[in-house]
Formats: sequence, C-alpha cells, structure tokens
Amino acid sequence: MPLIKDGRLAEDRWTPVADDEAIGADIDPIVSLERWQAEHETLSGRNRPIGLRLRSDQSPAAVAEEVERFDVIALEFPKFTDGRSYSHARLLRERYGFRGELRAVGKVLRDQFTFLLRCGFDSLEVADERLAEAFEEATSEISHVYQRATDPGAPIWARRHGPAALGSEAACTGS
Amino acid sequence: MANTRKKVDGTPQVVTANRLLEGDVVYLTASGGWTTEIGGAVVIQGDAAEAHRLAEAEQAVAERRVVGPYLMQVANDAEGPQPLSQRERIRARRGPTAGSTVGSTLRQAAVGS
Amino acid sequence: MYRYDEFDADFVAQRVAQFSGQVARRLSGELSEDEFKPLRLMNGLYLQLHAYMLRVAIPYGTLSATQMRRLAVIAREHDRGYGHFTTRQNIQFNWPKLAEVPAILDKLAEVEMHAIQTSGNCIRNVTADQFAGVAEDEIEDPRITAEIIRQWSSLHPEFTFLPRKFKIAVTGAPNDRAAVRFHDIGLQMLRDENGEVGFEVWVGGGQGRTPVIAERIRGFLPKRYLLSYLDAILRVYNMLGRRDNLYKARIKILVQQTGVEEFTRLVEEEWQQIKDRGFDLPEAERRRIEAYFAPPAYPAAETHPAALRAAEDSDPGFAQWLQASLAEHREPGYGIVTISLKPIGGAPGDATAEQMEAVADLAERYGLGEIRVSHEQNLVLPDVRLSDLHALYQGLLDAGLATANVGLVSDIIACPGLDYCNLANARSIPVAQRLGERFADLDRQHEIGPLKVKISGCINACGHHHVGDIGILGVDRKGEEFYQITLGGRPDEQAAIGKIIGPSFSYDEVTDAVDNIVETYLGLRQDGETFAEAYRRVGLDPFKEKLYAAH
Repeated sequence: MPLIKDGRLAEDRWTPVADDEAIGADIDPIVSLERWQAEHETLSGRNRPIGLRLRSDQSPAAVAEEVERFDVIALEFPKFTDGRSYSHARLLRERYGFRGELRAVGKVLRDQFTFLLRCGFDSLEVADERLAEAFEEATSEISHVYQRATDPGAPIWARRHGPAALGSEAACTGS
Repeated sequence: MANTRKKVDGTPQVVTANRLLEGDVVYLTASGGWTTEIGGAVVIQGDAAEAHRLAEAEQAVAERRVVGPYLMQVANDAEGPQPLSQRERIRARRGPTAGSTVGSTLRQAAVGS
Repeated sequence: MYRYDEFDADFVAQRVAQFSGQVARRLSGELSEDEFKPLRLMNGLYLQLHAYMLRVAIPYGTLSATQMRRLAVIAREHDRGYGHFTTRQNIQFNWPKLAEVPAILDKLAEVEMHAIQTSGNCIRNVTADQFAGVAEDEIEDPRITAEIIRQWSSLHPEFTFLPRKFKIAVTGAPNDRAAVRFHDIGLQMLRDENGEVGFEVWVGGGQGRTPVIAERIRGFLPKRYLLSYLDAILRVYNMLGRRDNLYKARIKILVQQTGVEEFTRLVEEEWQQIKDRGFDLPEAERRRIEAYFAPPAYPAAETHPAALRAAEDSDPGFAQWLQASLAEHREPGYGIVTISLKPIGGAPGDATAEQMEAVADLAERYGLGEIRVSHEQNLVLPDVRLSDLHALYQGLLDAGLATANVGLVSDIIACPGLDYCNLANARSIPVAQRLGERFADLDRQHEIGPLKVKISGCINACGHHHVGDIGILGVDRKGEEFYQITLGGRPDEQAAIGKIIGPSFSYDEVTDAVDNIVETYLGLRQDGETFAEAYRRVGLDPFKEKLYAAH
C-alpha cells in the first residue's frame, strides 16, 4: 500500500508479518501485540528495528512502559468511522512519550488527514497514490483550530490573546 | 432507511431511488429512465427481471443519476403499480400528507385513511 | 449575544469551502455515495424521504433578528417557503437541492451561522435553557459555557468519529428547562459552599430506544476545568464505548455496563492526567466570551403599566394569550414572551418565511433584537417591555403567531415523522394536528392547564415522547401506523421516564385515546392539581382502567 510520510509518497522499509509467519533475518517487521507479548525475548534479541501494530480495540496502555523499543507503531482503522485510534495516538504521543513513526493503517479518508496529523500521526497508509497529491490541499483547507491537541499548532484562543495567555504550562506534546 | 423488504415469490415490484441532484423520489421505467410518477414505473416479476433491472439501477448510480436504489413491492392492477406500505405511499405522493402551517395549500387529507 | 471575530469567521468560511469541495467531488464522481454520506452528514445534510434535508445549527437557541431574516431568505429561495424548528434548537430545511447547498452555507456564514456537526457521530449542537440570561432563577448565563463548548467541539480532531452521536446541554438555573438529565452530558450550574460557580456534571442520559436518566458523576466542577473534564469524559467514551452494536453505542450504555462508580473512576483518573496541562481555556478567553453575554443596559420600564391592565380587561383574547405566553424576567418592567409555533391544525415547529420575518421585526420593535428557539419548538422574545405586550400581541396576531396555548395540551412537540423522515415508522404531524383540532377550544385548554403532549414517529424519540406528560410513539405494524401511549414522563429536574399505558392505538383511535386520558384527569384532579401532580398521586391505573374499559 502507498505510504504518505511528511506529506509525500515514501518508500516503506517495514514489512508487516502475520503471527504465524517466519521473520526473515534481513527484514524490519511490524508485529502484532500478541506476537510481541508471546515472543518478547526473541524479538528483543534481534539486532534490528521493530515495529508494532495495534488493533483499534487494543489500548496502547499495554506497551506504555516500553514504547521506546519500537521505531514504528501502526494503529489500525478497520473502518474510517472507528475513531478509537485517534485517542490511542494521543496517549502514545502525549502520555507515553512515543517519538517514533506513528502510522495510520487501514481505512482512512482524505478528509481525515488533518485530524490524524493533529492527533500525532506522521505517516498514513492510503489506498491510492493519488491521495498523496491531494495531501497538501486536504491538510490546508482548515487552517484554524479551536482546541489544543498533539500538534504544536496554536488554537484560536491562544492566538487571540497572544503568548501571555498560554500560561506557564503549555500542553505536553511529547515532541 | 431504504431497504428491500421481504417478498413473496412472484410479487410485483418496482425499483425506486432518489435523484442525486434534487433528492426527488423516482422510479425506474421500462426504457431504463427514471420518472417521478409511480404509474410510469416498470413492474418486475421474477428473479431474472429483478436482477436485470437492479443492474440497470446500479448503472444509474455509477452514472451519478440516482442514489440508494431498492426494490419495492407494489399492487399491480388496472390502475398500474401502487405502493403497499404507508412509507411508500407517502414517498409516491412526493410530499407530506400534512401541510407545513396553518393555511398552507399543501395540507391534504391523510393518506390511506 | 456572541459575535464572530476574524478567526471564527475565517474558520466557518474555510469549512464552507471544504464542504463545497466535497460536494463538487461527489458531483464529479470522485466520491461515491458511501464515501460522501459521512461527509455530508458531518455538515448536517441528510437524504430524507422526498428530498435532501439541511439541518442548520442555532447554537444554544439564540438568534439575532438579522439571522432570522436570513433563515427566511433561505426558506424562500432554496426551500418551499418554510422551515422546521427542532427539539434540539436547530432549524431544518426540507427541500434543498444538493448543488445549492454550498450557496446556502455561504448565505448562513455571512450572518455567522453554520451547519457544522448537526449530524454524524460527533459532538452535536450544544443546547441551553431558552430563557438564558433573562430567567429570574438563573445563577449564570449558560450560553457562556455553551459557546465555549461550541468552539472547543468544532472539528475536534479526537472526537469526530465517536461510537455514536453526542449531545451536551447546559442549564444555568435550578429549574431545568434544558432537560440536562436526558443528554449524553448535562451540565447544571450551581454554587459551592464558598459561593464559587461551577457545574454539576451529569452523564449518560438519553431517550431513544433505551431511555435513561443521567447519573451525576461530579457534584462540583470549577468552571476553569470545563474543557479538560469534557476531554476526559469523551476520551473514556471514545476508547471504551461499544462499536459492535448501533443500539448500544451511546454513552448511556457504557455508563450502565461499566457501572457509574467505575465509569466515574475512569473519568477522574483520566482527568487527573490532563488537568492543568494547557487544555483548558485561559481566563482571558473565558472573560472575552463572557463579555458578549453581559446583560444589556435595560432602559427603565414601568413595572405595572396601567395600559397593560386596561388591555387585559378589554381584550379577553389578549388576557388569555398573556397568561400562557408570559414568563417572569429578571429585570423589573420586562417580560419573556414565548411565541407558539403550534397554531391549531399546524405542523409543530414550522414557520413560514413571512412568519420568520415578522418575528424578526417584532424582536427589533418590542425587544432588543434577540430571538430564542426552545427545545419545545417555540420561539421566544426574551426582552419585552411590559408596556409593549399588547402591541406585540397584535403584531403576532397579524402574523398568525398569537395562539394562546404555550404549555397547554395543544402545544405539542412532534418530530417530522413519516411525512418527511427516512427513519420514521409512523406520521407525527397529522396526529398533532388532529389533537390540536380536538382541543381547539382555548377555554377548555386553559381549564385543562399545563400538559405536555410529545409525539415521536419512531423509537429514536426526536419528539421526546419518553418525557411527555402524555407521550405518543408511532410504531409500524405490518406497514400500518400504530401509536403507543406513555404517561408520566418529565424532562426537568424531577426527571422521569413515561410508563406505557397498554396496547397501542391505530391512527384513527389515538385522538380519542388522548381525549379519554385528559377526561380521566379532569375527573380525578384535586385542588387545581396539574396533570403531572395528579399522575404522581394516582399513578397509571385509573387512566388505564378508563382508557381500556370500552375496548
């Protein structure tokens, strides 16, 4: 599937592997939470980067203590109407301090790109390469936001009052 | 929502949908067009005709003429096809049975009672 | 009232442009109906039985005369000359064409209105007490809070694809006119022992298929923590709310299945993590919004105008209208006037373009140019000088808007029902019209006294039948319309869900059935008891016995 990263089509060096599939010595795998938990020792012992894939019904709290082990975490959107991964992404970024690549996989629409970026995703797996061309427009249609989220963008209320109104404790964005 | 109701084999049916642009209720005609008059709808009986007409309707969806086509049961006598359920009777009359406000010319007697 | 600054205006303009692009992509075929549907719904555009329907938000039910005139223009130019005010303080246009919707949204944006999040599984239009800012019993104007929530919820990146729709209501007074206990979140303003104003937080109320009275999860939330606390509730719901079953997806089911104690613990735990982390509004912004709702400087007005007394004596129609329509204003010499959108034989909540313009004119002439929309589908002029009441009444008479039935048996709440709605099982409007005609005699209505009849055309309960003194629910029996009757529901601080009285009635029987219930009440009431009071004393049985005796 085409991958959009930092707003452009990007090479995907990661290989999603099924739970019963052998992991080749020369690949960087993305594994399920179940596999990660079952083969924790072996996977940690590999001398290569590793990625984790979470279903939308799997809370990232399960890996809260070990997020730094993953170079990429992929959060699934089984349907574009399943919005759990937006919250999971924010928790990973803002609470558990995940700084690696946060990837949205599954069903995501052009009209959701901005929401995804604002919740901390930085890469998107899309159904069609043409969506990469639409990325710029899709993420610039609405340039104002009313609430603080993971992204560093200042909400309208902060811009109304200037930096003084931000207070001493700005949101922890984890980045 | 628009749906296909359970049907007894051989019950006459018509295909209905809404026009994409206006939202109007329309019925598939024998020539593959769409009409707002249920009297002009092509009456379908049997599985083969059903499949053929539904395929025509899906084509119209692809051509962005209509949305949400479905089969609907009708009574079919000398007066032509007529809807059986209250919902379809109201759709077929192309407007509410009860007017918007006092003095409204839209106000008419209740359907089917 | 609130006015957009350049940021608000730009935000809405960008949203209109974005939606126009989505419509263009649909018309060009780039988007299929399946892809377009959630996008159009997020902007309040439905495909109903006969046509598209556009639902426009009237945030917390407040409109200026200018905005009302614009709604009239849209009704005239893009609809069939009328609009429908809903139980959620929105207005619905029933006949727009898809390609014209962007133009309608442009016209709305020019007067600081929009259709953002009037549908979809997101945070919907926030509702409030229609007497906000002028009610005698008010602690603080709830619209300040509602406007803060409106802004915060607009295109919220985390909470736009919730398990199901999400409705928030705010009341600033102990007498709850906003039905906060029947919302996903209800906020009731109160003072703590130190006199600080904050919120009592209610969660998990709702009507629909499973009516539930909300649970109180917090006795006092300081105002400064409003948004972080809402974030915490919504986050818990977004992560844990059921997504496997449409009918179990509302937060009320999560609260019930988790248990209110555990649910509260989860929310509080989440909140501890995010409070004081910059998600709440700074004080300066709260004060900025507050300033828009500061009470106007009311010119002094006579508190007991002699002319008013004289008009009451000489014009019995006026006296009767006054009795039904006038509520106490916090400012001496002023009154709050409810304008009935329930003319006998009319469709509840409908207003023609001409009527909208008449109300706008009257709001400017006899009020301060502001209009409210109530969840009971009436309009309100919040600031009328007592000495102007008779002139206002005459103006309303000319516009066909002076029905003296506010709060009475023919002031019926009704959803659009099967005449318009794709979800409905039975018609609501003609049932309301027949009831209106049956009880047309205003003297009889005043004799019956306060009585709320509420009609829904399906189990989604948009007509609030669960909380009517008499609730009527339309059901489909083999393609024919039947109506189930409930008694004893209440939306206010004494929240109660109506009880089903017995087997349902056909379309032709339901008017007689309601009449029978009203007659039973008149026969058993004591010392001026209202219907609700009498019901509480005697319960369902006496009504049931009389109603089914003849069957």
